[in-house]
Amino acid sequence: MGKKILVVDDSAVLRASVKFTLTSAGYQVVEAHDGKHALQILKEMSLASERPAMILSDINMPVMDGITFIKQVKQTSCKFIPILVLTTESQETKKAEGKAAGASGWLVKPFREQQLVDVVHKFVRDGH
Amino acid sequence: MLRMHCSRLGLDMVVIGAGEQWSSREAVVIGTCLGSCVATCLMDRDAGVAGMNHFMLAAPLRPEHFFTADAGRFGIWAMESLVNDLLRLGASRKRLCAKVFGGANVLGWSKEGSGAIGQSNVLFALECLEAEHIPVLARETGGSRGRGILFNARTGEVQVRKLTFGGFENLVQRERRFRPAPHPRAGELTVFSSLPIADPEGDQE
Repeated sequence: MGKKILVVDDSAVLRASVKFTLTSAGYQVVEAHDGKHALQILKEMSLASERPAMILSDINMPVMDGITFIKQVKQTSCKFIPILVLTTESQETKKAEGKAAGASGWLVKPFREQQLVDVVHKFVRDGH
Repeated sequence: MLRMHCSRLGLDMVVIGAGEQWSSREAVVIGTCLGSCVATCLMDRDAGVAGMNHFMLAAPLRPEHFFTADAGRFGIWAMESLVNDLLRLGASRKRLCAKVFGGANVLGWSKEGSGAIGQSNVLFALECLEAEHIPVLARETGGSRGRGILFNARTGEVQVRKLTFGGFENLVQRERRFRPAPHPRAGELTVFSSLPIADPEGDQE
């Protein structure tokens, strides 16, 4: 059974695209449609003694945006899970916000499938 | 992208080309010319926010590969990017509605191409909108002639004009040369240095 990756994005199309890419690479994907939903999933996983190996999160989302979500994760027992931001935003100020919140990396959309797989492999395998 | 005043409409007009988009809270008209490309007009009338993109897939795709093939990523980006712009301007995702235009069979004239790209572009836009639960209020797609589109961002009204052969030929040449290129920093990866080295509680699946 492949390691679990939590994908947080308000776009169903983006989630479907990332899910296909990662499941093809042997991962299991758990989907959340915003930060609040993702926190709920992390809580449920914790109750079942589970934890995703990595979190991929968008920034611009309704209900709870990605920066707030990352900050919240860093206040929980899941704080060591690497979080890669997947976003259309490429401004340095935005990246600085992500870094300050506790993100492990920042990948600007659109990216190639293989690029995403390589990055996830690196974070999950190298224990970043 | 070009901004000018349109005296006929009495409004400012923003003209976008392939690979571009524009969103606004202002009373502007967003215009473009389409061959096989597709323009998606999105609006939240309650918030007074609207925008339009103009995109083409990198290659014709079968619908089952829309969200999984590399050729679809520019389309996904174009749609997400427009939605994000509208949300930043105050739109609600739940109130968004759409109008879709373009996708004519114009590149079918080329040696290497088939007419499938126009159809692919339209189906892609419709599939995206359905997956995102954004209702399509109107569409004017397909056929064999290009279109001129004027989208009134304040009222949501769209004027569609079929292009005559002269302008149409130039459009086909432009589309043949067009290669989707969203922005120079696409795919840029930044790894931040302040990473925890390891989880002291150990790895769990």
